[in-house]
Amino acid sequence: MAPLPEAAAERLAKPRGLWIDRNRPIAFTFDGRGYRGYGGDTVTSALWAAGVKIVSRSFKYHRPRGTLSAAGHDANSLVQIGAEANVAADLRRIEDGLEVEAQNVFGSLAHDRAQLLDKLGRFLPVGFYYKAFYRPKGAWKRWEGAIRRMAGLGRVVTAASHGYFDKQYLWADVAVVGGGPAGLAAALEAAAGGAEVILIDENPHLGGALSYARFDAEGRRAGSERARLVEEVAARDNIRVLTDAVCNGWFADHFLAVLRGNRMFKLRAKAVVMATGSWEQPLVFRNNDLPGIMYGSAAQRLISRYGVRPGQRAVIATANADGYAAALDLMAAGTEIACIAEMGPELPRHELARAVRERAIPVRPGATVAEAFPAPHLNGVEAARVAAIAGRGRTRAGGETFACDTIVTSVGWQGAANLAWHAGATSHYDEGSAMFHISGLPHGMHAAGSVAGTFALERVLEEGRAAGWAAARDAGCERGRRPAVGNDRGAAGQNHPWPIFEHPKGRDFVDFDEDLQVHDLENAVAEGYAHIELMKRFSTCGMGPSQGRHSWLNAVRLNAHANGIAIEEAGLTTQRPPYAAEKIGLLAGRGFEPRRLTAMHHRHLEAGAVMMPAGLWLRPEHYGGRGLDAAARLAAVHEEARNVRQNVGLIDVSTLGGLELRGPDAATMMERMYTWAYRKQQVGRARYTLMTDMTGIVTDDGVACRLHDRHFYVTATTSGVDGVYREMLFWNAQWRLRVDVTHVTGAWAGVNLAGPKSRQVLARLTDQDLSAAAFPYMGVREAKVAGIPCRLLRVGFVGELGFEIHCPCHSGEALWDALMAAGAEAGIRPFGVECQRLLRLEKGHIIVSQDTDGLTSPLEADMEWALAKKRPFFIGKRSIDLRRGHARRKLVGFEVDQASLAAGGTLPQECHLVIRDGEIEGRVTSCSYSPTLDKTIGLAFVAAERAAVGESFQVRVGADGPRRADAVAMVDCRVVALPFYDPDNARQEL
Amino acid sequence: MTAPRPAGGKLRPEDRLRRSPLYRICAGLGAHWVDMAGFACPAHYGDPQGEAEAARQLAIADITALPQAGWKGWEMAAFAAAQGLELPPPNRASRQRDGTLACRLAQGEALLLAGDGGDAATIQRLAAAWTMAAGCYPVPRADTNARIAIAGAHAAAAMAKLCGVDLRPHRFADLAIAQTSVARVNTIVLRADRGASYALDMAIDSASAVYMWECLGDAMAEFEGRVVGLEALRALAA
Repeated sequence: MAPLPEAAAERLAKPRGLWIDRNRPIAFTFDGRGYRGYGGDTVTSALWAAGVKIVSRSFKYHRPRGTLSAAGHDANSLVQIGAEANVAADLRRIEDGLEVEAQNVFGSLAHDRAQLLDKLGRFLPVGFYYKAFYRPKGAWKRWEGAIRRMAGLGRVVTAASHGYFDKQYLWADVAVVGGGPAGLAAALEAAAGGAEVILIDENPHLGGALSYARFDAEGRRAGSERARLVEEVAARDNIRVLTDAVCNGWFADHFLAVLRGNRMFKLRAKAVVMATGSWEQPLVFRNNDLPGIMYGSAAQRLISRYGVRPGQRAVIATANADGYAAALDLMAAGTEIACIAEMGPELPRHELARAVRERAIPVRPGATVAEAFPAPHLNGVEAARVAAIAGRGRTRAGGETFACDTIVTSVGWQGAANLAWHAGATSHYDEGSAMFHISGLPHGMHAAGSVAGTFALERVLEEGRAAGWAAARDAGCERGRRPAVGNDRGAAGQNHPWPIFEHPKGRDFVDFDEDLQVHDLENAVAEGYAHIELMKRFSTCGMGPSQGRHSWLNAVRLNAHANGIAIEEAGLTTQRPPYAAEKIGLLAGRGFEPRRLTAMHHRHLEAGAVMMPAGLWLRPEHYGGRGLDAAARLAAVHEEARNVRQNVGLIDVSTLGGLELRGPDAATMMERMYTWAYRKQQVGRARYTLMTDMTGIVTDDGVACRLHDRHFYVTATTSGVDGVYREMLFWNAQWRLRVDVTHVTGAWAGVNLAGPKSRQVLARLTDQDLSAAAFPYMGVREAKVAGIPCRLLRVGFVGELGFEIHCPCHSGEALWDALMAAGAEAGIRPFGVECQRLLRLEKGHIIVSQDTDGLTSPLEADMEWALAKKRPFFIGKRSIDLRRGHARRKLVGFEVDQASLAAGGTLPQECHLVIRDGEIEGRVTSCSYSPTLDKTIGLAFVAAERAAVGESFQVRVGADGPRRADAVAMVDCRVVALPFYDPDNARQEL
Repeated sequence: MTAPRPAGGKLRPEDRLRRSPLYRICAGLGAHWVDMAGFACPAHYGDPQGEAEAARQLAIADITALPQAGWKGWEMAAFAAAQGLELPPPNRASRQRDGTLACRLAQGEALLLAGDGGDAATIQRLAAAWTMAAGCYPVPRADTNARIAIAGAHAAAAMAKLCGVDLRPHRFADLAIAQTSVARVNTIVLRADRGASYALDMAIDSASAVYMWECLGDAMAEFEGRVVGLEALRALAA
């Protein structure tokens, strides 16, 4: 193996490189070439150490880009790692064998063919794609693919395996977001008050700015403060530290979304301290996007955290003390400082500036970097032109040109206040400090540090302590007096009020994500997209991966200037969660999809059942086995039906809802909830139940079994029982009846033993007299079956002699086993839901919610027989009475004319339309071929005036044969009397 | 409720008329069974000592077989008191002398869970005294619910992946009750420590027990949780 590029090329000796482990070398590849870094290195730092400064190409012009923030605050360092696109190279730590690829390149990163677009920039003005590709009609469809490819942000690997993502709840009295000096101080103070604290930081180590910034000329204070604070935090049992974790959103009542790795934490806090720091802001000048141009903080991060020298020779443009701090760090790292352009009118007097001057570095007051000169193919910086500032946004011609490979800018900051904005805080622009400040934080949220506009380290620590104290107080952990915070927060002098120097030739980027230049934003306003929200959407400024962190402050300034209004008036665009990019997998998490299995579930599988969902339940569709084609599946269903009609079948009906109504007013409750009469229902008898809502619409049905004069056991539909239960509880709370309603669906397993031989099978397992005289149709008995205490119901949904047997669910499998064994000689076979649907259709029984819909009254469903006419009240009665005589449709039974099927029509399906004279008259609700009757039968809604037996109608169906898939045909149908099968009920009442 | 055991044969759940919805899973893990209230209950999985140690860290056990019962109605408290059962306030439980955990789910509803010893004296006493006129009605908890215990130092952390209620030991006291959603299934969560060891008992819809067991197994994986038998829970309490 060829030796890997030596990582030490730009590596600095200890103590620099706080976050790397030099004893742990790591090999990885970038665009197929091997590199070596150290444990703790990011992709960016390891590549930079190896002299690789270009990691990506820009979104629109495909210009080469290197790191801007070294903190993932920008989109310049997005790369592809395996199936994962848009990975921030600034943040992703290298691992052995990691394969990193540049994304959004055509050809190679070094020679991107799409860089031609940079030459064609004048033809690609802001919003060009809104205007250029919509004519002629349909043109966008042709262009879209090409445009999306050109603007690709990584590669979607559809064959990627599913990752494991999950979620976890967390709780804290105080959540502190941000592990810099303010956050550390806040966490300690809150913890000292006894609060349970969770401290969240997006970096792998605590410290924030204390891990890279310089606060004194000697460069000692940051390190000593960091060590002290981190040590104190570690010593606190009531502080839990979450590093590598991003708080991505604030939601009501301090509910925070925190992402770490493949887990989303849902953190419920009583109070929040937002110590999220701030983002450094760019200086806008020509070619300000070249690799090698970076923030002062980025240079310091590379030096201090990763021990990487940013460059050999640097020019610095600065408007604050941070530029001088960066200069001192760069010099200490061996970088020659060619010049410092001090953007203020005179040399500053702070100790950092004094220290720089003592080192005889040329400083040009009242000047800025006006232009960067690129290396060939834009692959870096060769020189910088430093020119005097002539006024707002203007420089004088000429100036000095300094050869350099690095340009460092320190022109200001803006608070990372997203969580406050999520919480509804507002921002106002302060002309004095030239930055936005937040106000209106909700109760329990506190801000500290630079996010609150506080930059002086001593004040930051004080403010952190005060915020921690206040948060602990809000969480009920008050202790002592609020720590004092001194004045002079240090915001003034941090930001240059107008760090934007437009160049006649452009390439003065405001938004690096979207390749937006100064004139793009000016043009957006000129075209009428004047409001900041409109300008944002038209230009897409701030809509890229970095969500405006580095662009919106300058964009607002430009918008205000173009509109001739104050920056405060221009305002900010709305910031919503998430704060940072998040994977869909994290949102999905570990999917929780409950499923309910009956006690006999495994017996069904063993018998070859194909299961189907019924709400949360799984039920056997049929027992023909998997992999059957439609004809074989139908044959299996028909065979099950034949066995029920001729022998005996067994179906699992455990999913049926079950409710117990007990108490002195149970019958009263029944008569109010259901449409029929129950007060005189005898103990030991079952009666059909039909439920309607207040508008008289059918909502459920079942059977009521009277087990005691104060006790009804009521069944409901599988999908409807929860709603029925809720209704009963609701109404019982209104009526205050002395009745208790208990939902017992899960407690009872149930089977329906049906067929002419069902009695002889059951008789082998019970002492109960099963004769028609002792146990008539619609009778109910409590008896043991195979030693299991059961409730026996003589009901006949499928139209045969049958017994519904309900038993305690933990005995369901034993009951099934016993019945199957007892029925073996009689030819018992299990039957599934499809067979049951067919059999009940033959018998003319409706299925609520299949044969009814959200508008069906009992009158339309021909169920007037189930309405108690003499009772003054049941829910829905008045509505039904009002509807009487006004039904516009009727549910009828029908037979399909076989001849019209033979002529090319297909079997009508549920929801196929009844058509008359070209108009929709109704629809089919159920339809099937009946092997018993050798007919195709069904139920359908038709016009009420054409619902009489013998009326004809047509159903529009799919056409059979080799025609177009959407071809239709009409089949003729005829209304017939119900039920189709055994109209005298002789079989079920045997 | 007990089918005759084959002469000389080992106890098998299939020979019982009452079967936990989890019995196949437990059998697949090599459960050794013990008779319990008409069920075969997993006593251990071949490593009683190791299971007892594991239960101090993180373990789940299917204890559906332990007797349980429910009572509900406007006269529930009076009925219980008449049988000598003093109930705590709602969402709290109390331990009875026979080990039964008397859980007050609401002003008018109680859930009785037998202790790990399986003594059902309290449950039987109430059942024997009940009449339809009591203004209080039995709830078939023994079948409505499967019962799973999760025990050990990591139990609360594992549960935090499934449940939004703060169940950490210093926030969710012994004998506290949460009637909440666990992995999107309505669940009664009772903290019922075994000795000094943190433990939760969950009463779950029987039909959802297999699903819940899978969710718990998944949540436990990062803590290397184990499946243990009833003996491990008893060992914790010893």
